[in-house]
This record gives sequence, C-alpha cells and structure tokens, in this order.
Amino acid sequence: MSGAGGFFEDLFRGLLQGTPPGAVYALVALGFVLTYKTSGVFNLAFGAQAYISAAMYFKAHTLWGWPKWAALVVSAFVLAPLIGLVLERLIFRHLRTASAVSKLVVALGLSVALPELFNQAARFTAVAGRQITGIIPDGASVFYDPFGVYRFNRDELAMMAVALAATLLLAALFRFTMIGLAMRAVVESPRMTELSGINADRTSAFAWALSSTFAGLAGVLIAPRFNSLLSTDFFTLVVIAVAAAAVGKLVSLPRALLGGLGLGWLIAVFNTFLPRWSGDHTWLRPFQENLTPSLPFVVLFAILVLWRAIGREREASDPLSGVDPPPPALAALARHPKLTLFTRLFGVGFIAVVGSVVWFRAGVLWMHLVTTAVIMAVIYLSVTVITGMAGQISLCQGTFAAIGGFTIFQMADRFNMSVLAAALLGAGVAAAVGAVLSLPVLRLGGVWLAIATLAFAFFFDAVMVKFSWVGGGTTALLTGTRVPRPLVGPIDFASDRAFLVLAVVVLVIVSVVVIQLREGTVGRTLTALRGSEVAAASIGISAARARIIAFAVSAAIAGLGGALLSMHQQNVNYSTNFGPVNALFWLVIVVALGARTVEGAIQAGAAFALFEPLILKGDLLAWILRGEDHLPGLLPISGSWRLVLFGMMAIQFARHPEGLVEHGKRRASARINRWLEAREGAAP
Amino acid sequence: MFRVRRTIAVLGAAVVLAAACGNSPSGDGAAPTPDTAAPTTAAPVTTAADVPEPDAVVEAPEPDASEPDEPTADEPATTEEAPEPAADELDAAEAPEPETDDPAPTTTTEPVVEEPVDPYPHRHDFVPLDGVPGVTVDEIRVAVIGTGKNNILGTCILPCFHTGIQAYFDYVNDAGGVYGRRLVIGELLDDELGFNQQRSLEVIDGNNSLAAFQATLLPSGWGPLNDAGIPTFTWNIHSADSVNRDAIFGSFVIGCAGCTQRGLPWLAAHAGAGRVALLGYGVSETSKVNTQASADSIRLYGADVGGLEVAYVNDDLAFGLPNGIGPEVTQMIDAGVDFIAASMDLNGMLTLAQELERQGVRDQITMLHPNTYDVDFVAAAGGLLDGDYVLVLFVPFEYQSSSPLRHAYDQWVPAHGGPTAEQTMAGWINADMLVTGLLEAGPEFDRQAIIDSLNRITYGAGGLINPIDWTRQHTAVVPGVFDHAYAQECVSYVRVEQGSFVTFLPEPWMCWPGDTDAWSEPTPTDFAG
Repeated sequence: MSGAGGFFEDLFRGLLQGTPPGAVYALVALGFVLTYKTSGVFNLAFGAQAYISAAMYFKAHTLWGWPKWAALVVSAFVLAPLIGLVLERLIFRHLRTASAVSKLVVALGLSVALPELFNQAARFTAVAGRQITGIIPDGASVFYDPFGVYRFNRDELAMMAVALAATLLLAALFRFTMIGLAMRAVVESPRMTELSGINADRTSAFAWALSSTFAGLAGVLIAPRFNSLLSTDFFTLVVIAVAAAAVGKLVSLPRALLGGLGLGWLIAVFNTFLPRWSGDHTWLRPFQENLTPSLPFVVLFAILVLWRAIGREREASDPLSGVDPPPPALAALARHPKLTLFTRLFGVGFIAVVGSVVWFRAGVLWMHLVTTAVIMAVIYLSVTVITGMAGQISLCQGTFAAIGGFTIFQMADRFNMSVLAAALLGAGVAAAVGAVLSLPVLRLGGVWLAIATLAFAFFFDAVMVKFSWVGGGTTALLTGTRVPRPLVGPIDFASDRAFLVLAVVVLVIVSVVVIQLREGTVGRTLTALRGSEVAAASIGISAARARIIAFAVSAAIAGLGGALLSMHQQNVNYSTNFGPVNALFWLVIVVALGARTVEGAIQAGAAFALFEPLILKGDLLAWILRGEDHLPGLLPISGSWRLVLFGMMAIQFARHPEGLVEHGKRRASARINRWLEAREGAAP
Repeated sequence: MFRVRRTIAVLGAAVVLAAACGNSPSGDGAAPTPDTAAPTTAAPVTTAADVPEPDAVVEAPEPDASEPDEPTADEPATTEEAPEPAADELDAAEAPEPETDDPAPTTTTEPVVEEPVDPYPHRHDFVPLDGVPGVTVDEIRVAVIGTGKNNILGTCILPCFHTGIQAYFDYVNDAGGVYGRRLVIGELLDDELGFNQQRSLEVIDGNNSLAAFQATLLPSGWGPLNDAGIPTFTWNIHSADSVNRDAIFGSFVIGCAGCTQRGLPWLAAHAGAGRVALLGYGVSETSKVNTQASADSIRLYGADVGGLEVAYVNDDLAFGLPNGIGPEVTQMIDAGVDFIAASMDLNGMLTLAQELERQGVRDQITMLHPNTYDVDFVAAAGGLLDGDYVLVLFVPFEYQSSSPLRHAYDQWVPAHGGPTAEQTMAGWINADMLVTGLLEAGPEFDRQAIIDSLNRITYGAGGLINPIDWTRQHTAVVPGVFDHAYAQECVSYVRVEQGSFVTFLPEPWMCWPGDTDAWSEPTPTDFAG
C-alpha cells in the first residue's frame, strides 16, 4: 500500500485521478460544441444519441457476440450518423430559422423520446454488472502508470487520446476547410448561405451526420465507465458537460476540452482534500457533505450566474428572420361568435357528461386517475405562466412542486398544521424560492436560463432533499413522507370523491388566476416583452419586474399543485413524482399540447394521467368493443410509449409553439369560420 | 393592478379559511401510529417452521401432471366433499395424521415417540365462500406487481419474484392446493418503475385478487393496498413504506436502519481486519443513515472484538459513482483501511472493487457487500470480488438446510426455469407467508382474517429467515428500545471464492439476544434445525 504523501504529491495524484472523468466530460462537451457550431441546436439530446450507440454496441458485442470492430462500425459509424441524418431531414432542416429556445424544446423532446424508442424497438434493458467491454483489447484490465502515482487503464487512455485528437481535428476542420466554414455559415443564415451558392441542405446533413457520429463514438468510449447502461446517466452527464461547454461559450473546442478536464480535476481535488480537512475543521463538514455530490451542478450554476460574458452572448439568429411572419393569435380570439357559443356549450356538456360518469360510475382507480389529471393540470398551469406567457423555459417546475409537497409534510408532521393552510404556505415558499432564483438567472434568458434552472433542480435533488427540514431525514427513513388529507368542518377529504371536488375547485381558482394574469397588466407586459424587449423597455416596462412576477407566480402554482398531489397520494413520493428527470416530461407534454392556454394545461394533465390507461392499455377501445376479449393482440402497449409519443409531439413546438391541439383548433376554427361566413353571406 | 390586488385578497382569504381547517384523522397519510400503540406482548409461538409442509419428501416437480380433483361451479364441494389430492403424493408430502383413537401409553418403560401433529388438519377442507374477492369454488387468485421495464438496477426483479411465487403455488397446488382451491396468479402487473400506485389501484379497483405481492423499486402503491385491507406480501427493501401498516408483510424487516448492530464488527474481526472504512451514497437517506450506524457499531463494539477502529467514513458519494472513486480509495489506503463496509448497490460495489484493483490493493482490502447476493453478477466479475463477504437476508443457498421449504425450493424453482437467487427466494417465501396466513385463518377466510391471523403469529418460513413476530414488528424500532426488534439480532453471510459463493459459518445464522445491545459472543443458529 502507498502511504500518505505530501500536499503536492496528493494534489498531483488528485489531478491524475480527475483526468479520466474529466476526459468523459470533455468528450461530451466537445460533442455538444460540435453540434451547436454546426447546427445551432443546444442539443440536450446528445446524451440520448450517445446512449443509443452505446446500447447498440453492447447488444451487438456483448449479447450477440459480434467482433468489437463490427459492433463499433455498426453502432458509431452507421447507426449514429443515420440517426443524425434522419433528425436533420425530418426535424431540424425545418427549424433552421427557429429560435434557440424552440430548438432546445425540440431537443428536450428528443432526449425523452429517443432512448425509449430504441429500448422498445431493440427490446433493450439494463443488466446489472454486464459492462460494455471497451473497444481496446483488455481495456479495463491492463494498466499503465506513467508517473508512478496513479494507474490508467487502456480504455481511459484511449478516451483521453480521442478527446485530444478530436479537439485538434475538429478545430482544424472549422478553421482550414471549406466545409467547416460552410457549416458555420449555414448555422448563421441558411438563406444567405444559399445566396452564395452553397447547398445548405447538404451542408446541414453533413453537419448532423458528423456530430451524431461523434455522439456515437463518445457513447461507446464512455460506456465502460458505467456498470449498467441507463439513458438517465447519459442525460445527467450531458447536463454536467454543459458546464464544460459553457467555458467555451459553446463555440470554442479547446476551451470545452479544458473545461471538461478542469471539472474532473476540480471534483477530484475536492474529494481529495475536503474530507481530510473537514476532519480537523468541523465547520468544513457541511460543505463536504453537501458540496461533494452536487459539485458539477454548483459549478454549472456558478458559471452561468457569475460569468457575465455568458449572459451577454447573443444566440445565433438569422438576419433574415425579421421577414418571417409573427406567430398567429390564439384560435379562441379569432372564432366566429356562433362557433364560440357552440364550443362553450359543447365544453359544458362534455364536462357534465364526463363528470357524471366519473362521479357515479368511477371506481377507486378511475377516481384516482381523474383526480391526478386535475392536479397535474394545476401544476401544468405553472408552465403556462412561465413558458406560454413569459416565453421562458424553466426546467425546475418539479422542484417547485416538491417544495409544496415537502412543506405540507413538514408542517403536518412537526406542527400538525392543517394541510390546506400548509399547501398555501408551500405555494408561498415556492414563490419565494422562485423569485429569489429568478434574480440571478433571468438576466441569462433563453437556453441559459433553462440550463440554470435544470442545474438548480439537480442541486435540489442532490443536496436539499437530504436535509431533515426538507426531505424529512430520519423521520422519512422510518415512516416515509406521509401526508394526511384535509378536513374542513364536516367534510372529510379522505373520501376520494370529496378530494376530487377539492382538486377541481383549486383548478378552477388557479385557472381564473392565470387568465386574470394573462389579461391583466402582467400578462400584457409579458406579451410586449415577447414581441420586443427593447421596444417594451422604451415605453417604461420593466422586464425584470414582470419576469420575476411570472417566475414567482409560476413557482407558487407548481408548489400548490405539488402540495395537492402529495395530499392526493397521501405521500410526497419525491422520487416518483418530482425528480429532475421526471419533471422534464412535464414541459414536454405541455408544450406538445398547448403551453399558451388553460385548455392546453388541462389537456396535458388529462394526457399525463389518462393516456396510458385509456389508449395504451386499451381501456377505451375495450369499452367501445364491449369487452377486453375483443382487443387486438397489440394491446396493452407499454406505458413507456407515452414518452416516445409526447416527446415526438414536442418536436412540433418549433413550428407550432402554441401546441398541436391549439394548432388543430386554429385550423378547424378557420375552416368553420369560413363556412359560417359563407352561409351568412349567402343568406338573404 | 386591480386584478392582482383582487387576486391577492382572494388568496389571503383562502389562507385564513384554510388555516381554520384540520387534517383528516382517517387514511394512510394520517399521523403515524406511535410506537406504544402496537402490542408489546410476546406472540404465540406459532411459526411456519412448525407447519408440516406438503412435501416432507418432495417428489420431482411435475406441475402439470398432478392436478387435484377440483370442485366445479355446478357441484360446489362441501367440507365432506373436499377434493383429495393425489394420494401417493399427499401421503409423502404431508405429515401423518395423529392417531387420536389410540390410547396414550400408560407405562414409561419405553421412550414415547410423538407423532408430529399437523397444526392445520383442515388444510383441504372446502367451505363455500361468497363475496371474498379473488376466491372462487376452485381458485384463490392473487395479483403480482413489480418492476420489470425501466429497472434502473438492471437486476432480475419482477420476473424472478414472479417465478418464485409461481413455483411455490405449483408446489402447493400439486399437493392439493389450499381449502380445495388452487392458488393462481390472476394478475401480473409491471409497474415500469413509475406506475406502482396505479397498478395497485387497478388491483383494488378490479377486486379480483385475494392478496397482492409486490417487488418494486418505488413502492407508491403500498399505502393504498394497506388502506384497502388487501394483505400484501413484499420484497421489503422499503421499510418506510411498510412500517405502521398492518397489512404489509415482508420476508424481512428493516426495523431500524440507524441502530447499531453487532454483526458487522464481528465479521470484520472474523476477517482479521483492524481498520474499517464505511461508505454510503449521499443521495439516499437509507444508505447515509446505515453508513453512520455502521460506523457507530464499529466504535461501540470495536474494543470488544479485538480493537477494531473506524479509519474512514464517507456517506456523501454520488449515486452511480459518475466521477469514479479514485480519491476516496487513495484516502482509504492512506488511512490504513483493510476492511470496507459499503451501503451501496452491486454496481457501485463493482466500481469500488475495480478502483481498488487499479490502485493495487484489491487483495489487501476485504469488502462487505449488502446487495450483491447474485451468482451471475459475482461470476461475471471474474474473481475481482474474491475474498469479499456478502450479506444475505435468508439462509443462503450454499448452506445445507434441513428446512423442507428449502428442499422444495431447490426442486421447484429450477423446474420453473428460475435462478436460485434472492428474488425467486423472496417470491417463494412471500407465497409461503400467504399460505400460512390462509391456514391460520381457517377455511372460512377472507382478506382481513388473513391479515389478523398473520398478525397473531411469528413467521419463520420454515427456518429460512430470522423469525418475524408480526404482533409487534410492524412498528419502527427506535435505537435503544427493543419492543419492536427481532427476538434475536441475526446475520448471515457468505464469502466469495473463485467467482462463486461459499459458506464459512458453522450455522447459517450468527445471533445475539434481541432485547439488549450489549456485546456478547454470537450463537451459531439454524432456525430450521
């Protein structure tokens, strides 16, 4: 055994130990920068692409017994570029002039959909302990100790070499070749590039094939570090690597490399010295306990918030985008009066019929599902406020909802407080946290704001939940985070029917608040800001104030919804309900269906809770066919297809930011309007 | 601004009204039952180990070959018409009936050989039952819920758990079933990690299952099942979700993750260790608390076992060890660690072993694994885990056991294509617990009768587990208070040699008195003996 060395020897060893994970971050950061430079997409789906190639390599080599080279060629050099080409042709070619935020949402949808699509199509599941064997022979078992301090295995050396070589080659590609210049030009303005005689489509396709190949290669190289292959691990890796990419402002490959390595070194040095020092200095102990597991997310958050240059970076935008038409108004605002009347009558009738069926016929399962749909609609209204009205992407709505849930757990457990009062308190706490969070991150705007909120969600998950005054600590360990239902006078909401009524009442109130907000000063201010921030500022509108209000209100609604969900389930169930990756799906499903309207949020809530049992499981079809015996053999379909379908639907966000349902409504309304007007015109 | 003020005013009024409200006293989410609420008296000594299993001499399993005569719907059997299982098999499987007509011997010149008494002579008595969910004239149907798809551990959970239950059901059905009815898995539901509550509500709503079995990673449905009064048998790795719930049973009980334990210091001393490191994940409260409890155990008993010391503690590791564990291993080496006890999943333990190997100390540091009792996993590690110890929560397969339940397992589970693994054993034991509850409840059973009957006994799975006294072990254990603890604090370990598990203890269990935490030498114990 080696003994304890001096400070510098320990420091040197720590740096060496941090190099392999640093190379992992660097590899992902390089891929991230490559995608951004060649497509203008803040590609959070990079991890999903890397995962698919890694899983394909695992399946081909480990399960099917293919030779390594054949598995590598198929997974990284055939499948990966093919995915890139398909994505470019079907999705991103049509989004070149879309805003960076729109592209981010599309990438989020893909990050949710692609891994599940592969898992379902290839019937792939993680297997404990069945590691990927690296592409180098004896990659994990042959070690080299170049400095006599720490040994690297062949896989790690290969990964480091690829990261370095990729940096040099890609930098040379962009600097010295025509195709490199053309790729950057297409990102800047495809229309102007085509005026110069460059085929933008072909260039863009090559860029996507190149970046996807890199994602595939990175996936295969990184995978031996995991003892079981999970897409969520790759996603988390991408979030961490964003910090490294941010060092290079998403455009500098050498800085991304250094950022990745620096992150690995920083974590290793922290892990080397902090535990040792905290033994002598107890005041360091809380830092060690809380900082160590969350360091990547703290670094990411700190870079985004403290590095002023990040906020000043302007997103790549097409100079000709000004000629694009503005987004159309909501369908409801352009409806014929008769159609409006009919729509409202139909809505009332539909609610009456469905409500009656649920009230009189639903058993415990459907009562639970409908209540869940109503509560999720409340939570999704928070997305309506922050994304639909303010035009910002927040990826920490699950965290705000968790704050509401934990507040009622704590208040009921410690002080036996009424859970209804605690729910309102939870909404207030969430609003306060949202407002405080918004102060540093709102300056960022766009994709950086989204990433900062995601870093906050991971930080909450890694650090805050552990505190006994948040997650319950030992109390939760012994008895869980159980929450009672409310009691109001003689009405005991322990009854599922009574609780559904409460949830509906809350939904109605929150919907009214959101509509009031949208039609009031704040909503109009936000609309003005979405149109032109500069113009809005010129007439005295404070962008910061309006957005802080939007952020706080959105957080309050999410907190209230989270509290309600915890009451409904009689348990906070943090991991199931509010984890940062779980909550990504919330945004995906809302933007897929309609982020700008209350109806969109309600439809998203219904889809979240009811799509799987009604459609995928086949209950609706069974009801129509009068029995499960008549269902086709295809049913039931795995609930995971929900992720695929709504992830794919979110892809439409860039073309239809109002959501698919709203888009459909608008088209239908336009046709009916024309028909009604024609009838009125024809009438004597 | 008027709208905002009006909204604020409305919300303010709502706050005042809400503050005047209370919380429902009913429902699972109500304030947890205080410890003192549970009975603290000793349970009647009735264990499944006393139950003559249907196969004292187990024949080769032929699940399909020997269906018992079953009553039909048209001809409901009566108690007198109870279906007779295949005579030869049942004779071999069941303990002989006591010959009550014979007078007891009056002289003492010869030793009296007492015939074993079947405590459940009514096990094949058929009584028509109306309105008992999941029970028909010829079947007792249950639901099995677990994590199949999206299993983040990558281990065999639902398929293996299901195999264990199905194998046990076929084994019992082969000997005539219970109360003239066959045991049937009527619903097999994959919660796909995130749908446990929904699947549980499907079972409640369908009302077609007498009982439920659960092996899941996120147990959000246990509360509703308990509240619905459905006896639920679980792979109980979620103590917080089973405690204070009288209808939730498991093949083991984690009564107190934060309590000190004598097994760890004893094992470390047995392994010849002197300086111990404790590792855990920061993100998991269970892992974190267990790591601190392990450190406390070494500190408390270290002197008693020959001078063990805590050399390194780290309960802040990131789940999955995404940054590796190089610096931590270096520090452990510097601290002179020769034994590591880690509260981590099996994948994390493999990563740790790989780092130890890299830093050249794998053969100098022994590890204790809490979750690595997986033959295939250890074999795939290719000797990397050799010399380590693995905690097992039932009698490990490597020990010879006289338990008839184990003999039956050894024959029936492989015959169903299942691995001899923790999950199949968990399913097998849980299925046995249901049958024990049925037999205890009597032929006129229902859900509540099963729950009540199990909560009156101590269950030991024929000696395969440390017996659980269900009269008092539904309640969480508080450090220093032993009212709800196991009667004996027992541990069972195996050692890894050449990529497989081997025994090293004289008996499957090493036990200490459960009513004190004072140090004493452990007693080798075989509950089946």
